[in-house]
Amino acid sequence: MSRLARWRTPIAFAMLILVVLWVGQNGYRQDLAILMVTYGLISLGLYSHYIMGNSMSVAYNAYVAIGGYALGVLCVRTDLSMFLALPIGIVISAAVAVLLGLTTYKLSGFYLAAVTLLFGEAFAAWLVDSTGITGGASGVTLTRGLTLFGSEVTRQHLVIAALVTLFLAAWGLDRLRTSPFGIALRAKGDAPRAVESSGVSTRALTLVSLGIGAGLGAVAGWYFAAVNLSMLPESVPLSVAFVALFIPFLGGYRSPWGAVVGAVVVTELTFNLTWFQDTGTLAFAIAVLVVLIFARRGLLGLLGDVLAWAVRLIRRDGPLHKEGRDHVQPSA
Amino acid sequence: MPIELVVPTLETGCFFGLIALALFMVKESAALFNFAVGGLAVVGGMASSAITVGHGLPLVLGVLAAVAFGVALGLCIEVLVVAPLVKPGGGEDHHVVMALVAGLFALQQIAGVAFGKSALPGATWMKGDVLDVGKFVVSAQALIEIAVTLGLFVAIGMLLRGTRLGRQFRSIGDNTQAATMLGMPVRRIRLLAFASSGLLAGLAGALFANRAGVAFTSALQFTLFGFLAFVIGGAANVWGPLAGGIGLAFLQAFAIYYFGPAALTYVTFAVAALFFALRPEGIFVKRVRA
Repeated sequence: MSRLARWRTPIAFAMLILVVLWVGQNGYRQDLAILMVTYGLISLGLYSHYIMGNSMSVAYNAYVAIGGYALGVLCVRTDLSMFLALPIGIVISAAVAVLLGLTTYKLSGFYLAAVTLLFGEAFAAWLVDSTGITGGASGVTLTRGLTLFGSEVTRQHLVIAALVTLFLAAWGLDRLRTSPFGIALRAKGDAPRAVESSGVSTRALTLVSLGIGAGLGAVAGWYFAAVNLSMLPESVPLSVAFVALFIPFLGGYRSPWGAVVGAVVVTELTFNLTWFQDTGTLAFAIAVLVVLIFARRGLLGLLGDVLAWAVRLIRRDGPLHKEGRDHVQPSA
Repeated sequence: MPIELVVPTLETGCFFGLIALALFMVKESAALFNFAVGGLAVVGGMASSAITVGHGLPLVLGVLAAVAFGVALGLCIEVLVVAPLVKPGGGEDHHVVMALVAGLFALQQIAGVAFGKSALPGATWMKGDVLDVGKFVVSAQALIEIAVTLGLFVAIGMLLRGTRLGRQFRSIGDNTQAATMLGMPVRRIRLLAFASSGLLAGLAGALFANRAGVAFTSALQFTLFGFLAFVIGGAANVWGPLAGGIGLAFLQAFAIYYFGPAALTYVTFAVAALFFALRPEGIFVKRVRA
């Protein structure tokens, strides 16, 4: 394990505390944070099956919408606790992902990406069409606030919970990556026949990883709707799923924390970049290309290289090394 | 389906066919899918519209700009994106695929920044009707679009089948590693393939922009529909992409006519899922003598 890898979780935890303190009660910062969490959870979802398992399934606008609409529909049509919408959304989106995975099991690469993107587009059209369920083009607006044990859950509470969820999801995937399941999943991505011949079902691995990804997408949708108090067909367009595809590569695909780093960068570039109007997404696109061509391990990989170089530099020029060097030098 | 819808559907099919042909050129010679074609078509269409409709300059300048942008950006993609990543033996690597998809995304954003975020209306190449028999009307513009598409398919078919350059294209695409060992100009052919892909996509964008205007956000959809047309038609010969494009356009037109506009996305998804799963090699398949 590299020096940076050992410190990733404590550094991420420290960053989480700093971000929570920075967001505070500022509405604009809360918007930034929730956008970052949405991108982050979608990217982590993609990480679970695309980066680890080489299944380029990208219908994330559908999974996020399912999570958001589950909350909206439950709020408007029932008196049940709105927290129930979270497991309901996760189960429905995972079921949709598994069904889509079963029908597209034989596909890989851009063939799979194309079909799942078209599914995402068809799902977006269905959201507008199904006025009776989704409210059609007007979407659903939350008519009551979230409560937990009788206390009101404020926007700030939700944003903090969303940030903690993002941290836990990245930490969980980091653990999963090195677990027997994660190792089998990664091996499936590289050599599916070898995994199949060792008695592990590659189909089951793919479907489980797709379900995990879709579940994370639904969680993102739930938070998005809960914080914004509404869910519309255009809340999470297909372009978001398309953008999210690049986030793990930008941040660094060798660790789920890379997806979080990428989500921070894309939020900063597409939402908060004010130095040159309207070019944030272009800057992101160029950054992705530069990283893919010149720094294939992403920003985290680049940071690791810089740290390793700095450590080498300190060791070479540091006092201990100088003493050692003086010690072995022959006396004049 | 009413007869008056046949010609507009054929026009759409020609557009899909040209985008699929742009994919075919690179797939045939470099064993890669140039997913950036949608972005090249958008840049071509928007550049042509900005010059002709926006600045009132002659049509020929708009078309030339679309083609020049297409060729230049196609070459840029090869030099800046593909060449640093592709392995000596060729073929599709995970990173090359992602880089080409990122290229599509970058071109889309470049078009948005350079030509604006609103859809631009395309220029009409020629006004008036050529044929008017009852409900069956063929506009001069439609005739030009179909004629230019057919002309390009015939020219590229002849180039690939009947010339030494064409044989080099096909042999490198079939086995890049063997072609490299035989000393064939692999890099030069790949550059030519990306340039021709850019030319076709840019021209397609300029030619068909007048139908519904062109917006920078259309790039992904252009690539998806072109890719679908390519898969439906197959890569057996140069006519596969055109057959795939026309087939896809008629399926979409049927769906919209009988089931409403939303059916477009449902039918496109169903067609993609069925073809990719059951017949990923397409309708026309390469026959090899045993």
